[in-house]
Amino acid sequence: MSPHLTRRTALTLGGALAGGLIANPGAAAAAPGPALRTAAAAGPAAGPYGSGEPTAEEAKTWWTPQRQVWTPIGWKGHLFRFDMFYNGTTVCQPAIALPPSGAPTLKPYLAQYRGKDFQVTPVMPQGGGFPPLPAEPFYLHRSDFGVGIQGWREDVETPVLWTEWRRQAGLVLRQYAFAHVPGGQPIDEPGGPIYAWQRYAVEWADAHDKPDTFQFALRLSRVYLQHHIGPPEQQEAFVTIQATPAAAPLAGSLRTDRIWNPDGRPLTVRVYDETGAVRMVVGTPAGATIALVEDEGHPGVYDLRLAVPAVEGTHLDVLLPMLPQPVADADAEWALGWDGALGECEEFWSPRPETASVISTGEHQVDQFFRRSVQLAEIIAEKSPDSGQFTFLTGSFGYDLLWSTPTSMISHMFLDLLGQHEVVDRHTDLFRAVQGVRKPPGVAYRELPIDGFFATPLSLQSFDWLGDHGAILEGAARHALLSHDDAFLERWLDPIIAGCDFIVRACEYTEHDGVPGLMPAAASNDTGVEQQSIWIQAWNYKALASSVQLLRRLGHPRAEEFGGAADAFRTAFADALRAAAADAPTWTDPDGDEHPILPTKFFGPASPWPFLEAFDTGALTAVWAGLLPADDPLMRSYADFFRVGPNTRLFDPNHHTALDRVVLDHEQSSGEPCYSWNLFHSWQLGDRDRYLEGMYGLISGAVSPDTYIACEHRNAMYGSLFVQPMITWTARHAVIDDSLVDDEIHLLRLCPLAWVSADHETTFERMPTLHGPVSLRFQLSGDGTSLTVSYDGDWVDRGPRRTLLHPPALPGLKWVLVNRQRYAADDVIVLKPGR
Amino acid sequence: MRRSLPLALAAVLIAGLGAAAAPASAGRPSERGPAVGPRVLDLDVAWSRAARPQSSRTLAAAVPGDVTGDGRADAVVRDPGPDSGSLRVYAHDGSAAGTNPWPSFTVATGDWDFADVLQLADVTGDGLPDVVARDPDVDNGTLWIYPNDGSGGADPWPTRVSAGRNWNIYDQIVLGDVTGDGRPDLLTREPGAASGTLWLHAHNGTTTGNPWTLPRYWAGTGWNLATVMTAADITGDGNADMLVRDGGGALWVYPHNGNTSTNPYTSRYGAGTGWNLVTLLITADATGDGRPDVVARNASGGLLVYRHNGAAAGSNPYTVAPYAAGTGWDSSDALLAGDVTGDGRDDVLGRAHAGDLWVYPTAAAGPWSARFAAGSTWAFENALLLGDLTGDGRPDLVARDRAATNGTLWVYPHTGATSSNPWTAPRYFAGTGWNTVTELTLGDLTGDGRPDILARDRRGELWIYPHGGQTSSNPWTVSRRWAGSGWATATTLKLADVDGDGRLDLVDHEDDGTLWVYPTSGVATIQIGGDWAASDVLATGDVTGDGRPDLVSRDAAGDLWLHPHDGSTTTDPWTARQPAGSGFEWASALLL
Repeated sequence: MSPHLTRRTALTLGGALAGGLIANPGAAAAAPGPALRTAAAAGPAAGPYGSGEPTAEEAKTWWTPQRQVWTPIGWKGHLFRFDMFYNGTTVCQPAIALPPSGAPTLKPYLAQYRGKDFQVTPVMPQGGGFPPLPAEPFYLHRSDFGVGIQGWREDVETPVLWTEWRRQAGLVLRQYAFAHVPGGQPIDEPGGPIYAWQRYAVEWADAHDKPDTFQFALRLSRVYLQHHIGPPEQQEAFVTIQATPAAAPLAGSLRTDRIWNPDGRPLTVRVYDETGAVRMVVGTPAGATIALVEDEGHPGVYDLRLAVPAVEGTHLDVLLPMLPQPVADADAEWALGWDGALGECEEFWSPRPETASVISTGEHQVDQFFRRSVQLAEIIAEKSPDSGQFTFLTGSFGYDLLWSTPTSMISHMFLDLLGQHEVVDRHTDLFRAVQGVRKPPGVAYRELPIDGFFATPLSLQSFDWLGDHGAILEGAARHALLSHDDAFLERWLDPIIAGCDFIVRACEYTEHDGVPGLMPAAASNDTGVEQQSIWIQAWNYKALASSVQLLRRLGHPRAEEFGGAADAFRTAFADALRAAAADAPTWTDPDGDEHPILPTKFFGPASPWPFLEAFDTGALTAVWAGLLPADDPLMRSYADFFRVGPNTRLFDPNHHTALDRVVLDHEQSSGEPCYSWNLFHSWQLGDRDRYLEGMYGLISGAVSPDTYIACEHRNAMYGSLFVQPMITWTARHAVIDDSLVDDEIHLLRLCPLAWVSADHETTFERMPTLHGPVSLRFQLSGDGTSLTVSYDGDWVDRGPRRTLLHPPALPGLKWVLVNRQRYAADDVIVLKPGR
Repeated sequence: MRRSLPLALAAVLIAGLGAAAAPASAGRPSERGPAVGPRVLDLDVAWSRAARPQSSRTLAAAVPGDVTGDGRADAVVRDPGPDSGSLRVYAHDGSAAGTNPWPSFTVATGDWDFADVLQLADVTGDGLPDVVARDPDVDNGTLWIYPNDGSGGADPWPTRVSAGRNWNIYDQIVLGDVTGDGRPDLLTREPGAASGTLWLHAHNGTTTGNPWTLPRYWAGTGWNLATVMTAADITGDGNADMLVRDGGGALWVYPHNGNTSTNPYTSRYGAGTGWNLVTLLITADATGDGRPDVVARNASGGLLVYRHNGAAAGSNPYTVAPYAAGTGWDSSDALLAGDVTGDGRDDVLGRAHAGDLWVYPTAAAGPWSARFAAGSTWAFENALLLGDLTGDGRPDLVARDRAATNGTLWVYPHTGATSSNPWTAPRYFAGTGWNTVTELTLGDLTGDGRPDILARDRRGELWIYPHGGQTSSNPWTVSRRWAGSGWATATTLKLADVDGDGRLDLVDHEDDGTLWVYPTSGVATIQIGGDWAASDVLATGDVTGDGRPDLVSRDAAGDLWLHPHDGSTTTDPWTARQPAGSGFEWASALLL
């Protein structure tokens, strides 16, 4: 955008002009490629106030629906989770679902649960019967396009997931599901009983054309939905869920008591396993039928055939323990009933920490995203039985281990930004015990002391990345910066300093073949290739810089020492990157200008994943890390490489994997969206259009718009919160930005116009900042001429040096009332001190 | 099955024997000669699961079973006859077309009553016809191959080889060479898939094991239209065509199209109508011209040959008037064709069934010292039930003809006769498709005073077919209603108001020898004490005349025992017993 034209002026000139500014002419090509949204394409009157700006609803239309989504329900910190697929299938996998290796160190406490998995698959009638479980393996999405109708109940705090089947027989059947532990209290024994309560309800029935009863089946088996790793076909999704019927048979038999019910009374029916333990309990309504039938083609697989009267409100309840339970225990849980169990869950889920933020933007999807994502963070976590400590997990059903680098973002870019400081503290503490214990994964580090080195606990570690050290340190330092928690500092200050010492020692070590002054080569990602990658530089520098920021705030005597080391690190990095760029191959932009294709490493052998490393863990991370500014020509050109470069010609919008050549598709990484580092470029540059396109793209295209669970790669691995950090960081910085300029807070700088409304007061309550929690409320007047803003900071010390408010670019907006002080809405407002 | 009796029960048994007053003639009439080996008449009841030979079993009884109108439940007992369950081999005598080629038979020993699928084909490749039989009650349908040993003796099929289990998912299994390799392939119909999916299971070439292990392949849908399916080379091209009778009685030829690895039946042409007048229909070369003729049994038990007229593919081959091939075939409930004698001509095999029915009136002095005959033509049916279908207060007889249209029910109204056969009035039709159930019981479960059918399907689910009120036509046309599940392990199910609340309760004899009462009111289940493993007959009815259902059992020795209801309504009411006659081991049905 021209620096001579204010954003507001540009927008008030009209959507067409704005659209022209958004559109990238270089992207115009005859062949399909990554989508670049244009306001002009959306129409001059589209978007809030005709601005052409995107909204969450519009962003839903940018991609085809995501396939094979699964979402966990569970209990905070419990060892187990129930994974609910888009089609209502429940996966009970108490062991590691996808062990990356056979290492006995991996969650040894789960070994006892191997083979005790269970799957409940709802099967709808077809052609007068039920489709049998096929004999041959098949990709799940090929049976039903991999798409279902799903969402959360919004009238309760408990995460109650619903899945719907719209049956042409004339009714809508809906499954509700939530998890409950006996007693409804925070967990004590991590592996204790946990139940899924499920309800199958006739949600709606056609008044004139419906059956008397509706029959469906619950197919009971072992878990036969399996992760197919590796592209099975050309550019198929990297992790495809494959139904493997051969894995389905249970080792033992199932049975029910004999049922004699000629009067059609409501029944409670237990399903027992071969030991007599209760595998599930079913409560049928009056007029229902129930029969357990072994699959004729697959002994060991059972269909629980159920029929309910097709009357609205009729429902059938299912109690599903993660593991078979003694009859008395299952009966005690069943005695609670749906309402009783849900009541206990409400007591459990309703309380919020005093520090917790509250976000209400007026965009339903955005608000619900934050509401449920916070809950999911503690569900995709566990209190590890071996250490008794809590840890976030990278995912559920697949990545139920800990990749510390991406998962650290749950802390410092997600939960800490939402005031969930106690949760972050509790899930970070485990790393203290591992500091200085493990050896860094690189030959060059053998000569260095391991003091201060952070690593993932071995029982949780999938792959050893050197970046984990920086990620853990960044999580700790950022938590201290945002929480202002003295008790945390009491425990963590020394480990943070020791962590900085490790980085400084490593950068000062020169007896290696890589670039001196940087972190020497080490394993950087799942490839295990030891390389002096940009990825390990970015994470360790970011952590060092954040630590310096913290130590300076504390007035720590070593703050400047580490500050100097950070400066040297940054300088060495910039020099090395410019040197590498000078020798790098080039690409030609649409204007005919040549630019370097930046390397992913300064030293090390070729990697089997070059395309992933080029974007996800490549040079664009430098802006986020603070190693280079976004307006550096290398950064500008390399970001454009992924927007209009040669990768775009090879990009197939509908068939690509996480390992393919990455492009920016609606400003979202086509590889792993959680690494859409370009958003930090747009943020720093004030490229509002790309920033909002990326933020909304992530909300609607990288997390399920139905359940808000995130993917690693679209249509591939789900059950994670990979993308929540990036969305949270962008949403928060769109309205409250304490990162752009030191000691300043910028308000509404990149606020979406969709959040500015006369009908709704947008609130961001208790948003943690470097200066203390900030509350911001704003609402447009009915005539659209003034914006009333309530702004309050609970400053830890003196507060920011300056606070600036960027008036939304709304035609007709004349005034901004901030804490009753009126300002003209012409341009950036510098708030008066005390206001 | 366990046969041991608890000591306490044994003591009672001894005492009961000592007190037994029933004369020897109370059992099988002495003029009939010594009792022959036990026979099984029902083909698909769940408790007939033992490998052959099997013990006699009985079928469910209705309450009340007062045939004579004196207020007490009488016993209705069936004698299955001397050759029941065996295969009668009617060897082709070389007669030319127009003359009955199968005038006489010999009996091949062996009991085939267990089989609900019975086919003849050279599976082992030795040129001799082997028997392929399905036992529906073992492992969800075990298919057995009985290789022909070539002995030409009384039992040429003495051993068997398993051809897999879970074959019950198919309701039709026929044999024919579809792949053109000279070996019989299986053609199966899956009724629950797409209105009847036909699957082909190619013979894998093995001559000693299961030859149908190759992946099945699809051969079209909509085959549920067929009430009869048989494979034969009707068009003369060397491949097995399919001959089908639909529900309207039309006969269709589905000519093999030459495809040996994909669906071979992609077209059809007509072969006449009116074929629903025959009760059994197979193909066999009766005329010796190398072409398959249609051999059918008419309603009066006569066999007819419809000779192939030589028509080419596309034209009806069965236009020539039939000629007779003997009578008395109503004693067979299954027909098979094949060259058993090795002379190159098709022989016909009939599975034999005879059946005398006897009524044993319950006298005031006790059961059951006298009897009177109730007919001798109960050859076709495999389920007998008693209940007042017509609403005249008298128990009518309901019988299932297993061979007719996948199980036809017939109602034989009670004429009012009290000392002679009461079921001589014309029967009336009560629906088809009843072979899909493995247990049938009569009782008023809807509370309207009329007997409903309680049926168990192959999955062990119970269904109520409410009596619709018709008294001279099929009363069970109202939509069925679910009544329970998990009953696959029950060997006998009875209905009786055990707890005296006016509702019929379910009496359940399990295959583990336990006996239970499931009150319809939903209160706790009652376990009946003792080990009932040795009881292969259980019937309920008010024998003592006190208005409460008593229990009658038969032990392994063939002795009947009466267990009078002692009035208990929440605990075991049948704690005592008394002898009720001996020598009933021959009975294949005992109704109260």
